[in-house]
Amino acid sequence: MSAKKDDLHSELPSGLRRFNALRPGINLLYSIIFILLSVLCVVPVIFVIIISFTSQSSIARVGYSFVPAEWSAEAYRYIWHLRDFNGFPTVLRSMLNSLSITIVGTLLGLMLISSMGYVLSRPFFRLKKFYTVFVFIPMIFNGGLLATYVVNAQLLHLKNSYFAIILPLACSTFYIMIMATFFRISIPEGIVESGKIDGAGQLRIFLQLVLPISLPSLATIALFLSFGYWNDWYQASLYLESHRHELFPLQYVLINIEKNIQFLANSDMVASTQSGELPTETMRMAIVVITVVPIMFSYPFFQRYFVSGLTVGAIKG
Amino acid sequence: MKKHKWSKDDQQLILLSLPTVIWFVLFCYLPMFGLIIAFKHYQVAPGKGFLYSLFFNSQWNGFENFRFLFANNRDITIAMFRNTIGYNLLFILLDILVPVSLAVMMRNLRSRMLAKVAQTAMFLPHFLSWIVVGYFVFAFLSTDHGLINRFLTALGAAPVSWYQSEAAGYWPWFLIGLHLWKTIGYSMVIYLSSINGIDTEMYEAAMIDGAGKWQQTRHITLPMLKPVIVMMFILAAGKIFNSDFGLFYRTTRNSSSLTSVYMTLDVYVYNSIFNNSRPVFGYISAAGALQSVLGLVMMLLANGVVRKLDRDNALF
Amino acid sequence: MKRICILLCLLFTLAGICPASGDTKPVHLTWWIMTSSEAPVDWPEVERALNAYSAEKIGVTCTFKYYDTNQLALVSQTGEYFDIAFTSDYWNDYASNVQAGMFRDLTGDLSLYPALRDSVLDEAWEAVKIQDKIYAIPHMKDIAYEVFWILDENYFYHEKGFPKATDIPFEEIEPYLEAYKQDHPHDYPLRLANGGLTSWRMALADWLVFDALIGLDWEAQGTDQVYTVKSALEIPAFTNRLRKMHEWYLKGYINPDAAVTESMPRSQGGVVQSGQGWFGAETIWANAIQKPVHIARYDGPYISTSSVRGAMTAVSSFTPHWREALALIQLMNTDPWYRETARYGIEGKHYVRNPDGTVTRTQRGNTNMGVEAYTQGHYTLGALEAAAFPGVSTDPDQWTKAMERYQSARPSAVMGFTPDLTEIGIEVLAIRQVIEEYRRELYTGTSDPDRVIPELLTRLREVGLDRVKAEIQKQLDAFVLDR
Repeated sequence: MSAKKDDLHSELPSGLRRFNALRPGINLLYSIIFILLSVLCVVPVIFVIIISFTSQSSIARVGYSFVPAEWSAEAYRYIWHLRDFNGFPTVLRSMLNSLSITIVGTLLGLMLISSMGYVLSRPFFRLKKFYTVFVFIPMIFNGGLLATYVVNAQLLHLKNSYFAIILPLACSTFYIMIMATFFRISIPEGIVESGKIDGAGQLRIFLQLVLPISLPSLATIALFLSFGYWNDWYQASLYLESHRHELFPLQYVLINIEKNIQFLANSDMVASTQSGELPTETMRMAIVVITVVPIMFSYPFFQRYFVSGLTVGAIKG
Repeated sequence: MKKHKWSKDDQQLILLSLPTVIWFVLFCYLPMFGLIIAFKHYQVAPGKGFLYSLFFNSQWNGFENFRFLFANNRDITIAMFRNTIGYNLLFILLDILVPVSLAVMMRNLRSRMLAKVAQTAMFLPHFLSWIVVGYFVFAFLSTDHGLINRFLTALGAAPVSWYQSEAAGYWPWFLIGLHLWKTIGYSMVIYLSSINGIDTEMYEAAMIDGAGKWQQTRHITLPMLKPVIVMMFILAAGKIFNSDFGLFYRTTRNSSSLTSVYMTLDVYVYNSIFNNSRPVFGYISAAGALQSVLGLVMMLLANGVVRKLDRDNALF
Repeated sequence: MKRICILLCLLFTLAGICPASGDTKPVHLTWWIMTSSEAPVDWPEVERALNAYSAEKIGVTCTFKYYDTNQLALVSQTGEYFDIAFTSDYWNDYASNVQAGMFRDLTGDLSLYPALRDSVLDEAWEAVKIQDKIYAIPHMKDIAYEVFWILDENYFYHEKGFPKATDIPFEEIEPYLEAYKQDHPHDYPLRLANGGLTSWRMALADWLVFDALIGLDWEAQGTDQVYTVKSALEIPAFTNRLRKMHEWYLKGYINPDAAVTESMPRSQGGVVQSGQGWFGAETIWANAIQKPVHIARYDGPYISTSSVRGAMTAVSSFTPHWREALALIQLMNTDPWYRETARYGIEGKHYVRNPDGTVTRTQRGNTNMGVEAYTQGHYTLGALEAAAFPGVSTDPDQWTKAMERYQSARPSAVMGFTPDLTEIGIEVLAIRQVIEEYRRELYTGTSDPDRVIPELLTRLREVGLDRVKAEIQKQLDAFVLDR
């Protein structure tokens, strides 16, 4: 896709290219704005990382600081040493669980969302009005926690299964409407028509013609979906029973670690030997780092699709 | 409706949408019977399931559950609705203006490297939960250890108790700033990928016609983005009575002196159920139902406005 | 081969038919129990050990389901099945469950289980009665309110030479605070979270609705006001203490951000801390604070409906197996082996036994077998934990002494009274909300009670305080008359 775009651009006459470029002064202004914004967004994250490597005692003495009095990896060591019943590191196991939930869920979600999005974007579809209302009502009204639980756990029997996490999060009105709008602005009607002339059905047009040119929008939705799955702990807390540790996703495990530590540190009822040394606050930040780092590595994979094509024009043009 | 009017396209499209329709029926429409809890005094029956308890063991109590939303003192109730609507209106406006401008600016940026780095950086805050954000806001605003107060005392100024009523005037600004900071990167992605989806040939044609950057933006980018902007606007209008709970609750540390600044409907509901060993599902449902009905009204209004201005992009 | 065994055993537990000795299949029960996060990681293994034991002893096996507050609300409100459940006034609310008919009336059944009946103090049986019927077994633990100062032993006694006392009234702690502040002007002797001193108001009133601050004045006992329902804000003992806190806040004894501090782990608390407990609990507190401490009582012991109802076990009203359920509860509360295994795990793996009869948890026991032991059954049964901190000892007779104290504790004038809040639910919620707005700053001394309390009372009256008081008063008068 983007390779094809690059070719087109390089064919433009050089005069046009210069004409199209942003004036240097304005470009500088824009650059400064973006650099400032980036710093504003990156600094807190660096702060979180620093705190996660600070020793608990220095936080107790002087609070959070960019230059801690004493460094320590105690929080990470504590998390790493938590073992499940087979002696396997809990963090690793749950990370694998999260990974499989995220991959399966994202693929399933993409399928459900893009197909409905495409259908809704067809201007002459007879049920378009009905479908729009059908998709919109659940955004406004929902049956509430109790009824949802009854349907998922008691009717569909999803308890203690990954489907209880994957299915309810796979689709949403918001994503479908975004997707439909994307399709509306980015698919030239000609493509669909030419497909029909070739005798292709809607399914084939959708799979072979529409999806390949919709990578930016698919990447956007995939990004949102995979974040949703990776960060989920709420569904897990509702549908995975608390003794099924082998099923827990990463976020849920980490939240439980944090709660346990809070409990040990605050409780009067547990005479725990180590409670005085628990790295309560650094742990919280270490948990953020552990969850963010793996998914951050996947970010460039998605970003390729919604930034690269963008600036091609500016560089070459 | 006569059968022969269904075209082959229609049939194939229905087939294509079938999995999603089934999903909506199972996970959205089936549980909707739960809405009637809002109008009942829900009482679980020993040894019986939810359906039996709801339909045969719980009495209708009309709008009694809704009374709970207005049970607090008048000024708090007023603040609650004022904040919910006020912040949301502002957020709807800013969430369109700021990310769209930034996305357009980013498109025109010369350095592809900077665009990539900035885009990644601005997405980072989305990774942090409000609880964590609450902790480092505290690192700045804490009375004795806070970075800002340490700075103030170093300059010889008096430290400020940021979470007490003396600083209440700053907090709306803090909340707006934090909201933008956390959500810009996320909403920018939507606009960026829409821009990226625009057919490049359109820009090339414009360039050949001698259109400059500003003209390209005005005549191609913005018109092409309009459907997305309108969609985001209508979607946001439907959620105007819901609020970003974490923003209002966690960053203010639920401080009593700041209540009038951050009390929203969702915070109110959370406060009433938090640590309550007697489940109050009727009240929660009532709050949800009110949010839904008002949200529906707002969405239809928004859709009506769009219809007046630009028929093509309206939903219904 | 070992793997196959484990797999088979897992399958058996899943199917609920753990292999047992004898020909008849043991009856399988479900027990709901509280957790703040999850079941202990090694619980399945411990449960297998418990089941093998109970199957042989009484022909019963059991699955323990650990739920936090949200999960419990879901399973209980959607009518999922249970045989036995933990209940209290903060988790699986006792009074409303009894009202809904979820719990079995055990009044007559108890005579069949004399060992269980006799393991509970008579006062406690009185406190759990609702309309003269017993619906749950109270756990023997600190069932009377006694609130203590927890003082840094090294600083106050070795360094400053304060005389040791077993009781220090609330106001008389001031010299301790003053001494520390003088030595450390930039630190705070009281380091509090937004709830104020831990458990500071437990024993200040005979609470009827704890969160809504409604109760009876202990000091009114013996006067004509003894049955008058009051807001705590109208009880002098309560408001005076708030005034004292504000005074201390202004003097710099309390950390300035206390009102917006979510939690304060004991290890990070100040040299003066507070807690509800018993003489003997200093072992636990010293372990948590990581310093030797001396404790001195400032309130109590008072025994009341709410102090007893802190931890109970109930039997479901719809189980066909109530006999087995009671037998299992009896086993949990009278059999030391079963009790210790449920509490500490497997000997050798999760804990080791010391020569003096106490136990010490292993590293694995600490991380993989942490339970809230008081939710399972009697806290007084089984081995005590050894002090993990040098210089602190475990008093082996602490519970015998405690139970003696509790028998002579000042009893509530309305033991067993349970207000029915159905008609005033919304008003009670509103009262809680209004209090929630002021609570943090009042309890931490941040705001001035003389300014705030009148305002707070006006607002509480606006949202229906008088109506709530009148309704509870009506019920209380009927209760007293009935008795």
